[in-house]
Amino acid sequence: MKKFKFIGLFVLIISTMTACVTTTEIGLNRNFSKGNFIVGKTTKSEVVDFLGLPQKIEKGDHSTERFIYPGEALITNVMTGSGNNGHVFGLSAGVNEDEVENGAVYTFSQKGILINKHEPKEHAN
Amino acid sequence: MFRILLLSSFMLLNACTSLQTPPMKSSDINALRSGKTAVMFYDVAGQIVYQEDTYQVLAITTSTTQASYKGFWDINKDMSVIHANNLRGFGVNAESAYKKFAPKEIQSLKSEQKNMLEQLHKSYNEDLKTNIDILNANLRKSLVKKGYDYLVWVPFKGYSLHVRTLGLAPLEQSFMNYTIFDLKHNKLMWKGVFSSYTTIDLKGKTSKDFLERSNLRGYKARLKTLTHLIYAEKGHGQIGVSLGFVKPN
Repeated sequence: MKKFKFIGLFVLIISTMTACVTTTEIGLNRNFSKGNFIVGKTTKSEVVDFLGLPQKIEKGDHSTERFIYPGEALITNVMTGSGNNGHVFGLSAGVNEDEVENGAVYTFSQKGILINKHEPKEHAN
Repeated sequence: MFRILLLSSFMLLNACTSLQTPPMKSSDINALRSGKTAVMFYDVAGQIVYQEDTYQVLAITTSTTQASYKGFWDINKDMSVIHANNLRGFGVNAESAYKKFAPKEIQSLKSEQKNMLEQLHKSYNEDLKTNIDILNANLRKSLVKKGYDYLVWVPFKGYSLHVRTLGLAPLEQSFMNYTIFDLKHNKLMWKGVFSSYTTIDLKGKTSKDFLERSNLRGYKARLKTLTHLIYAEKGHGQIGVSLGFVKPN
């Protein structure tokens, strides 16, 4: 019975929290469209000045680079206190760096000029 | 709530347990001080890890994201200089080896060091007598040819900045391996790990602003400070005492 209570609590916590946590202290800038980045003109330094460093940089063909920005930080740990017990749930297996939900991807030429961009159409902050 | 905090602290402390060899013998230290030492810092991760806790009444959640600085900072070159400067404080004639390699050579050094790191991981729980060949043969020959007698090789595993909740100050953590090789005799002289766990004042800034603004000024300054502390402090678990350069306070 105690085990079911514990599992029920865990499911409740995960299901109610994963969708609604927004980080504020990390300082992720998600106003991608406000950067007004122009393909063929904007440099990677200008993108980094506005958005900060990307989560991931991938090398592409012809020395191009893809800068991947996440839409939000992912929950990787949940700590609960139930009764006399404390529990820590590591969720790191759920982190997928390639997944950029609500995020943006910018591709730069060898010279560091923006040649392609993918931004979310609308992002609620 | 106390139990949660205790459990979280235990998890943090648990991350730095690994075999550390005893301090070097005075004969080894004298030899090191009389020879020429190359320093090679090797950044394994190339990224900053940001974490933020959120209090949710039923639980505390931790959100994580990363920032890649590959191509924005030649960290290996700069941090090798900082380690060499600190080693000179122990009377070791140390300098960054990267300044003696051409850019093409430095590129190939990355893959050699990646293989060396795999070998180092295999030797994690072995003592110095176990002959696991960590040092790349070409790198060793090249360094000897450039006039070096010893190599201090520092694989850096990464840095994270964790903004906590419940009024706890932000916590920064860094973790690095530390190895010393006798190049001429192809011998591992010392190996171990060093880590830092310190609270930090972000001065009202967000984590990304604090570390990344103005070409990573904050991040560079933090790594320089943390490195200096690991060399300057004379406690157990710091470089001076662990390697045998100084006696503990």
